[in-house]
Amino acid sequence: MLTWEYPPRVVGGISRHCYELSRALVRKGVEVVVVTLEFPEARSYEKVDGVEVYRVKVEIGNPNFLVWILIFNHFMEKLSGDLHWSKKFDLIHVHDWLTTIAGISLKHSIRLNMVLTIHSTEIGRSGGLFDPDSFTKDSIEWWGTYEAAQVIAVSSALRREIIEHFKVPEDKITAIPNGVDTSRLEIEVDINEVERKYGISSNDKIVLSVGRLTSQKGFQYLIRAFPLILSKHPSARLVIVGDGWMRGELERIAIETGVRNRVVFTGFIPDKDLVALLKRADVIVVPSVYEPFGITALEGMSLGKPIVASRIGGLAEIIQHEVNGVHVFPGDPSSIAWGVNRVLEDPDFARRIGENARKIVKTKYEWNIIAEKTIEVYRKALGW
Amino acid sequence: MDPSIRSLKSILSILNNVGAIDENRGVTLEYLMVVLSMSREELTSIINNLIQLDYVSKKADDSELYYLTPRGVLAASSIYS
Repeated sequence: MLTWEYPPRVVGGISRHCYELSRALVRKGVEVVVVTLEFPEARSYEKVDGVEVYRVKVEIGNPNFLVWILIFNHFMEKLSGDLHWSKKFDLIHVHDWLTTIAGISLKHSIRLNMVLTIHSTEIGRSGGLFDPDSFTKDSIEWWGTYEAAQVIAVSSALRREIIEHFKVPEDKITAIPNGVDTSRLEIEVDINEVERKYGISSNDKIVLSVGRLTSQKGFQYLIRAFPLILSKHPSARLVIVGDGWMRGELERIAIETGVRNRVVFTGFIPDKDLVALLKRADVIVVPSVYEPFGITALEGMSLGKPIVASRIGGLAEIIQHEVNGVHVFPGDPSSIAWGVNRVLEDPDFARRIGENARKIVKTKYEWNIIAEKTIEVYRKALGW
Repeated sequence: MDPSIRSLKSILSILNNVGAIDENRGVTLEYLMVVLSMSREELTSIINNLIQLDYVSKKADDSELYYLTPRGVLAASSIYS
């Protein structure tokens, strides 16, 4: 399995996806070797719950992003090719365009079939193709779908987008959602401790949002919605978990809208703290403007929390409006405020949608179910 | 996009792409000035901001090498995903 992101490099959903999927595949009897990028202080090799993880040191660099991608793909291919002689792989599974080139080269050099999981597309992430780099990424994505024996999309909406944009045959692509490891969320946590740590009062109504601080995630609209939420719920406190290049800009928006003293930016936090905050939250908001799946929504849902989410992509599939969550218009602060106020004003409604959400996660989004579906795709790719 | 945010993203990205992710692989201010075509004053101001955010660190000797902290590597990675 080739992925540029794997814990402790946890930036977006790919890292969590690969971590959980690889462990679930091992539980089903599949031998999994993960080849990923180096990370400061992380070991170059380790075995985690039966998954062998190799981290590639990128020996040379280049300031140009695409050149860097090509260089690290070379090092991934080199290591994977060497490992093949001792491990005798049956299949290559690559995640997103960032490792697609290494996957394609390996496919041809060691003559194995390749499965490609697409977590998002460049055209979707950027809202169009506007610069030369975007066109290159888009071309690599297309090339990956062409070379792969089978393609996996993390939602039906993304599958449809890939079929239409890249003209992929329908029988070559399967929608398999992300999953959630409910046991990870069932740990004992100390709510008081986490409140103290992040400056939260026990009376605060917590509006929680989790994700990479990038424009695609829509935190700017949530912060702009917050004055409208505070006007009805003065004890509301917005807690934003995650980090990213946009953090300074988001802090500036919080100051500009006069809500900085009611917004907590936690940065990246330990898993245990995240679970505690998810449990402590009164409502979880996913304000993305592009979201092929939306793992955060699923994690909140598995804990029975009311979710307010943009009606787009995977979120439109996971959530049924007013049944197991609340849909709002993406990029619309007044709609986001309406959704959050709807939940905070009606505790019975919040409890009902939360309970419905918990049930749906148990039946559709467990990693064991997702691993079984992935193995089916592997069988198709191998002609078994 | 605000020019200062664009510069901040560029610096994070370049440090990541050249592999400046630990103190032994850091790069000098002079190198970044050339790659980014930026003045020393402008670059120093952004680098100081990145140090405050705990995204960038300076090697603790007189070699003047700058590199990404683990948090900085994650912030740089967020540009790409």
